[in-house]
Amino acid sequence: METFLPNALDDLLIRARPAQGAPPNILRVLHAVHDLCGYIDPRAIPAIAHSQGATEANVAGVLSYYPSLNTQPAGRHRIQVCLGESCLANRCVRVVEAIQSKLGIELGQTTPDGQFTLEPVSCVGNCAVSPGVRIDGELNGRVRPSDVAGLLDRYR
Amino acid sequence: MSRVRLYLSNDTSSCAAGAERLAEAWRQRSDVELVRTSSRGAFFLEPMVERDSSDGRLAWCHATADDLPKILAGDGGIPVSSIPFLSKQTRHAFATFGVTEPLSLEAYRAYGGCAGFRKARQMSPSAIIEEIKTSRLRGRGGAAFPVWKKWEVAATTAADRKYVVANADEGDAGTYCDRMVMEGDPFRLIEGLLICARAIGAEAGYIYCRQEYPVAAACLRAAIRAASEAGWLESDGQPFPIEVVSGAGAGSYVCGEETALLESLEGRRGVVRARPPHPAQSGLYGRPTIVSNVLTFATIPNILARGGAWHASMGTEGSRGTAVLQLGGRVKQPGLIEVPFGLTLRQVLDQFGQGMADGARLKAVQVGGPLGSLFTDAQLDIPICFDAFAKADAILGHGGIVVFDNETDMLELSRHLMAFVADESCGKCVPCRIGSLRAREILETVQRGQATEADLSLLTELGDTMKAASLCGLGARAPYPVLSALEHFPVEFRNRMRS
Amino acid sequence: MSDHVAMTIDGRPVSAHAGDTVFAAAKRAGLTIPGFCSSEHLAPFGSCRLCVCEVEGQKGTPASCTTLVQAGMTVRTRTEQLARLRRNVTELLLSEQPTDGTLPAALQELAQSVGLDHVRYRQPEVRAHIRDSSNPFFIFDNTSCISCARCVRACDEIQGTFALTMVGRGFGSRPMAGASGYGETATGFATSNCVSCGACVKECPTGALIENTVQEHGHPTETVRTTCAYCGVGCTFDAGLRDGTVVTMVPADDGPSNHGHACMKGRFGWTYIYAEDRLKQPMLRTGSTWQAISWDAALDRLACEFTRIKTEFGPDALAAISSSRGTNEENYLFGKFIRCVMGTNHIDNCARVCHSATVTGMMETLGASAATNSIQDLDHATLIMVVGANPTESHPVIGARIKQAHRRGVPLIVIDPRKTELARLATLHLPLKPGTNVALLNGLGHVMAKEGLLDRAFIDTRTEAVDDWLKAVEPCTPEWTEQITGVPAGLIREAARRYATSGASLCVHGLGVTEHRWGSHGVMTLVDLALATGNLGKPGTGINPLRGQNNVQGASDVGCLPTFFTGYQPLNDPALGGLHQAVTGRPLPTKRGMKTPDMWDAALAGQLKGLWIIGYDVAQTDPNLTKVHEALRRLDFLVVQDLFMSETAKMAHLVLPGAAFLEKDGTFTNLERRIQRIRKAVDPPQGVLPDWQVVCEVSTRMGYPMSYRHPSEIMDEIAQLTPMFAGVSYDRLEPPNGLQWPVPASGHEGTTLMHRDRFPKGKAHFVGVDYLPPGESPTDEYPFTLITGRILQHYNCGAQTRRTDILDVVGVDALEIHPEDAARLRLAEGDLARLVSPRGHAILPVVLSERVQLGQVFTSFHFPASDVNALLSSSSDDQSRCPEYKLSVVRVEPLDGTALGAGDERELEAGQVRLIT
Ligand SMILES: Nc1nc2c(c(=O)[nH]1)N[C@H]1C(S)=C(S)[C@@H](COP(=O)(O)OP(=O)(O)OC[C@H]3O[C@@H](n4cnc5c(=O)[nH]c(N)nc54)[C@H](O)[C@@H]3O)O[C@H]1N2
Ligand SMILES: Nc1nc2c(c(=O)[nH]1)N[C@H]1C(S)=C(S)[C@@H](COP(=O)(O)OP(=O)(O)OC[C@H]3O[C@@H](n4cnc5c(=O)[nH]c(N)nc54)[C@H](O)[C@@H]3O)O[C@H]1N2
Ligand SMILES: Cc1cc2nc3c(=O)[nH]c(=O)nc-3n(C[C@H](O)[C@H](O)[C@H](O)COP(=O)(O)O)c2cc1C
Ligand code: SF4
Ligand code: SF4
Ligand code: SF4
Ligand code: SF4
Ligand code: SF4
Ligand code: FES
Ligand code: FES
Ligand SMILES: [Mo]
Repeated sequence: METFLPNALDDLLIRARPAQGAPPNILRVLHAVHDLCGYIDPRAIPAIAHSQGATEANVAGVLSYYPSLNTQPAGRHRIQVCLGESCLANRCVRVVEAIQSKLGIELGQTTPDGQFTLEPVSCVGNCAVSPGVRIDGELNGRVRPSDVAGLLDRYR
Repeated sequence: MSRVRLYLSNDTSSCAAGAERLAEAWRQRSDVELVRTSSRGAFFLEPMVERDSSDGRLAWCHATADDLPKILAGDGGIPVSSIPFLSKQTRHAFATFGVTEPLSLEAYRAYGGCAGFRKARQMSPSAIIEEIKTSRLRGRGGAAFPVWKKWEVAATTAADRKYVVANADEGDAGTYCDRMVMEGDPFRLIEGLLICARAIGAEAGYIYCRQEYPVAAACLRAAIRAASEAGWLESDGQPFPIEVVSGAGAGSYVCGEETALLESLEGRRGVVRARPPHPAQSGLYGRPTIVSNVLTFATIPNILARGGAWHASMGTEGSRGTAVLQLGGRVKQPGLIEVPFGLTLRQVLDQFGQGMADGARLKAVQVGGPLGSLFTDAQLDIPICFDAFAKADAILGHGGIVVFDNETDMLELSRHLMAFVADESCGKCVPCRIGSLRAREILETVQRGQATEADLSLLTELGDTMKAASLCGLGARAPYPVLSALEHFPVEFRNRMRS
Repeated sequence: MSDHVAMTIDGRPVSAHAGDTVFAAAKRAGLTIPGFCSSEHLAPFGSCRLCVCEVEGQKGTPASCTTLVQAGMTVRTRTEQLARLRRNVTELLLSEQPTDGTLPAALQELAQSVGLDHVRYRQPEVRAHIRDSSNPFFIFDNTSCISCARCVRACDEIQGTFALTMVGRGFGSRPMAGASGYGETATGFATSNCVSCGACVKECPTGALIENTVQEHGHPTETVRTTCAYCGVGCTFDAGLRDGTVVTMVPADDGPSNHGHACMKGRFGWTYIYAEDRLKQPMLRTGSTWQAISWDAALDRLACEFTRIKTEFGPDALAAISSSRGTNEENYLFGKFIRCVMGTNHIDNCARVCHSATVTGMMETLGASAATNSIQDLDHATLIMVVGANPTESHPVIGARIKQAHRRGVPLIVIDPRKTELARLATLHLPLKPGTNVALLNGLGHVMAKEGLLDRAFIDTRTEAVDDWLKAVEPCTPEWTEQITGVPAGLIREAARRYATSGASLCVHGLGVTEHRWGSHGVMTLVDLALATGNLGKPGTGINPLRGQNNVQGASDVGCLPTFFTGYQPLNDPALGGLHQAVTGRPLPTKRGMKTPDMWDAALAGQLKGLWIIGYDVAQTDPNLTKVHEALRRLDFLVVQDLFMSETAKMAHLVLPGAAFLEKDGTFTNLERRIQRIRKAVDPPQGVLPDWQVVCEVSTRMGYPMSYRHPSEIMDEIAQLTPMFAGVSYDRLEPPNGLQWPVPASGHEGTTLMHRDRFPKGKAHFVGVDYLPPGESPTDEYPFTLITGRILQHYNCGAQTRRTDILDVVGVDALEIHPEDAARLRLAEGDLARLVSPRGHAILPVVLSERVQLGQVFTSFHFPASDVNALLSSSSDDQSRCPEYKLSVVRVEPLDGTALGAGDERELEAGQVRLIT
């Protein structure tokens, strides 16, 4: 347990200490940890709580609330498929199916080789160029099921 | 060799449509000077390349990298002013979109930016609020609350500190105008915040930007830096810091609700607070706080610059100014539309959407995001106006319009929307926390062919309970799309019942 | 809140308080609206939606518990629409509950009341089966929960511990302790920072959180109102009874000092009354063998021995130590016995070792020695200063109240060498070197004087001798003070400014001030600061000692002091003497008696022969135990009256069992001078008499009959003899608020705020004192400073708390040592360390803690096996003889666990050490 904290995280938590009298911001620290590690290991909760002068319950409550704070490492590439209504109307479900069959995983899963994680998102503000698929932050519009193979190959 | 100046939108959706690929292809060319602008919002034409001409800008739509010689030669471009989708609009908030570079303060100024704030600086806080009152501006985030009333409460509530918060959570699927403002005209949002801050006496501002909008957050940060360097972010020697909080909602839809947003901004669970007190009395850290939508803030500068009466002169009795609509789904011409309130939904779909995508027939239109009611073809003559929508048990919301075609399974769509609410429920109040799950379960029973009429009437009764008893709009609005689907497409439900 | 708002609820005119919610207004008017999630102790929340109402002129059906009253408002709470909504919401609540017939009673009742006979949802998903039984006192069962978050809010808003959270979202959201959702859900409470205050359990509307005792024995069928018998806060409780035994202790909402809150000890630490080893019969010791004897034989023996000693050696060979744990009536009677029957003033009580320095210090400056203000003043203060006290552990309900004030934004100054919980939260923490209070407080005074922050008007009209004080603080510059105390000069300046200028600065202090070589001086300098800044005699201000035991205030008030009669009346007052003679038929001895430490000297010198101790374990809790034990051994006859075979009882010749607070009637006086009733809830063990009856029996046997039918008659006698209690009587103590002394007349409503217009002596008296060093300072041989004090879980000698399930939470005294010191000494968490002082040694398991500074160690004294007090010296405050418990020098040595002898009965299971820090 004690030996778990990587040094970088330790440093981050020291820097994240709220100033004397300032209220802590747990979510902000969780975001910082997420950015650093790609996920938040629950074993870091005590250290995060300590750095914020908050309790473990406070941290756990926040961590459990926000869907995009992962508590497990994701794959090397993050595929986000929009399931918002505009994309739905434009048949995003078929795109999802195409990705699922290509990678052999369901929504929310990571390929066994750790290459891809497939996540649903709800609207990336690209509704006029829907359906949208974001891979590692790069957004593709008007994606058709037939585009999927080519798209994914770019990330192999 | 002289370089030809080409304009290409840098908006996320334009890029997703291919603009970024063009830019990559042309970046190294010595004969091209590429200017990355905001987007005009005619996304069905993107990627669209423009260049200056004696007729104003000419546009090459659906451009590919291979079109470059043609463009450089000036062949085949059409005058932007001849594009009906754009020419029929009344652009005020979005007037400079597609024209200016988002992060150029000079361009912002050149096209009339800052005028509102300059005026506001010479006005007393109460005069500013009076001007907003005259404008009859109502909030664009969904609740359509008169803006001046909130400002007045915040201005007159005594406190050691006050805040303004731009709600840039834009959670409704089918909406993207806030994103466009942040990416394409960030100074307008900043100017709106500054005017509000002056009116209520706020000492700091926050822009709560959803995680799905990384580009918007980056643009805002750059714009704030530029504004600060230009000395904007202080008045009478008092600094006015604006912080972009990006991704705070971390994927939670309800964090767009203003009190949940404040909880989340304070770093806690994004659970809705009971009102009163309203944020304008007791918001961020218990201090008076104005939470308003990005578009609301972006509408303010023009009102100050041109006068409240100017704004009030547009639109319908209850809905003044322009409506910013975002068309999506199975229409032929999806994109951003700014028109005075009062056009009917059908007119919008016909005049701007130009009907359905090829081969598709219209089945239903959802207005106002995932909590918005569904309209059938027969109901499209409703005027775009907050009150008319309210009377029809519908919402205009943030102006998202999604068109579904004849292939849509309305039962599955209903289930999808209710599942969305069940997933996104903050879990605080019983009608939504349990009710949304029960509603989803009933719809799944119908899908499995195991439901009876009793289940459907239970669903209706549950819907009424959620509407009346939920704490916030998520639970209270959740039944509307489902019940309107049940009402308009009863056969699709009843066909699947247990015989 | 005197603003009234006229409105109509369900057709009835209702006068509501401005700021009320409709829910609260209706309740006050006797119209209850159904609702599970709202509580008068918690901020409006609005989650269950059962309390929906209709407001005329408004759309929709808002929750009445989040809707504020408005003048002229018309509200309906029982329309057909609302009934339907309530039924449907109830149906939703029931739909997530198990269908196996284990529906919580509250939900069952709700269903009945709204006319719901069955749930229409088919095969609904139900709540996750999660059970957390890791807390020794209560369990959490998620299946009975409705996710109303009252428990979480109670922990945040009432207790301020934040041990709970809601976890997850949507349907799955549920309460959770600690971070257990990410680990072992069954150990949440145990591994969280929960302090077992029970607030969450009390707030839970469904019994998802429920006391183990209720699980085992069922809900109580009747209740008896009484007062907690642990600390000086004096929390009001309802003892819940079933089949003649106590099954719950629930803090009462109308309790004046606790408003429905409590701490672990009062709430769950009462089961010692049913401990197997309760003393049930008198025991006589001959040599090392004990023999149970009859009450008659015991009482005769006592009377006979004391008569013998008195005739043989005179009254001065006898003394008594009364129990600050007992009632006022018992204490008075014991004093009466010693004065009227023995004819001496050799009587003392535990206040000697506790706040005696407060008594001398406040007497000399203010002329009265009790809290000047009331607990409620914490809500009016604009600054709170905590000096040498650790209320979140020692007076938890007050600690929670201070945390609430802090969360409202009230600045907090903490003066304490240790980083206590409040010190961590504090706006300013002044971590002084132990034993340097006088220097620091004078340093604060210096800044106030220098910067013109004094309240001249107050000083001129209400005080005298300010020059004496000004002269004393003159040389105490912040830089000089920093040198002595180790507190940075900047912090000293800022603290002085804030205290002097907040408008209403309230000070509470504890043993960190009194239990020092110069404890009385510390108290005087503290009072000086309040006088100099006018922070006295006004709401939200004052000097407020956090008196320790449940009735340590009362024991002194009713005269168990060698130097004062009841109400601090001087023994040599002729008028009092006359009254005493008239009322008791015996003269009042005028010669000052011996203080407890004097008694030890007298015993060692062979002058003291007989000693009667009620409820005070001197053989464990007094300092310099080698000496105390020796003194006790020298006595001809030692009688000890206790609930248990305490360390002192083990040395007695005769041991008498006593009745516990739940088994008798009487009154306690809490730390805000509030006299409150305790009431008999259950019978004592067969044959056991309350202490006062034992005193009566012995007195009667010694020729001075005492016959009171009820403690109320004793109180009447106290009132007769004592001007400040003149208006006190049992019928006036019947309302929940009790009475705060002085109560000079029967029509007087008591005194919440003292010294409003004048001080007892007219003007208050500044006393300037110079800093003097503590009794000892670290040397090469003894390099550490040992501070002793309390932990939340255990109480003083531990006789009571060690006989409850609290033992599962903490089972040892532990040595808190700074991690760097520990590393230097090669001590790891859980290792055993030997502490050596010039007086003795003790062995303790180590806990690494940043609560202590480098060079300091801290431990508690709750376990006899630790022998902590053997380390301490007999050094004490000059004026009050309050021992210097808070400072002794020690050496810390690592100890090889295997070096412990096999016969060593110490149970030093370091694994059990879990300090809530
Ligand atoms: N849980 C629990 N509660 C109790 C008791 C108990 O045993 N357990 N006992 C009760 C009794 S009898 C009493 S008297 C009260 C006592 O209650 P408190 O007065 O709170 O008692 P302590 O914890 O002994 O000491 C208080 C603080 O004094 C600090 N201190 C030590 N030296 C100095 C110094 O030189 N200057 C200053 N400013 N501070 C110093 C210590 O660090 C400690 O935090 O608690 C009562 N309540
Ligand atoms: N090292 C160190 N030592 C300290 C202190 C310190 O800070 N450090 N603090 C000192 C202080 S402030 C105090 S007050 C003392 C307290 O020390 P003690 O007074 O010795 O301890 P208590 O646990 O309060 O109670 C003593 C006994 O009273 C018994 N008792 C309880 N109720 C009744 C009753 O109704 N009738 C009878 N007959 N007996 C009853 C209990 O069983 C227990 O054995 O400890 C002092 N000792
Ligand atoms: C479930 C829910 C989600 C919401 N999401 C948003 C949002 O994403 N953006 C927004 O501006 N307002 C949103 N709102 C509305 C806000 O609560 C609030 O009314 C609005 O930010 C006020 O700004 P305005 O006065 O400019 O409209 C949401 C409301 C609810 C009930
Ligand atoms: S409801 Fe109808 S009449 Fe009223 S403002 Fe809207 S469009 Fe005009
Ligand atoms: S309606 Fe849903 S989202 Fe809104 S407060 Fe209730 S549970 Fe939370
Ligand atoms: S017992 Fe007290 S401290 Fe523990 S969780 Fe409940 S409220 Fe919090
Ligand atoms: S345990 Fe009790 S108080 Fe806590 S959420 Fe569940 S029902 Fe409410
Ligand atoms: S705070 Fe004191 S009086 Fe109140 S319950 Fe705890 S020990 Fe008893
Ligand atoms: S609905 Fe998919 S991007 Fe908006
Ligand atoms: S009591 Fe009002 S919502 Fe629960
Ligand atoms: Mo004490």
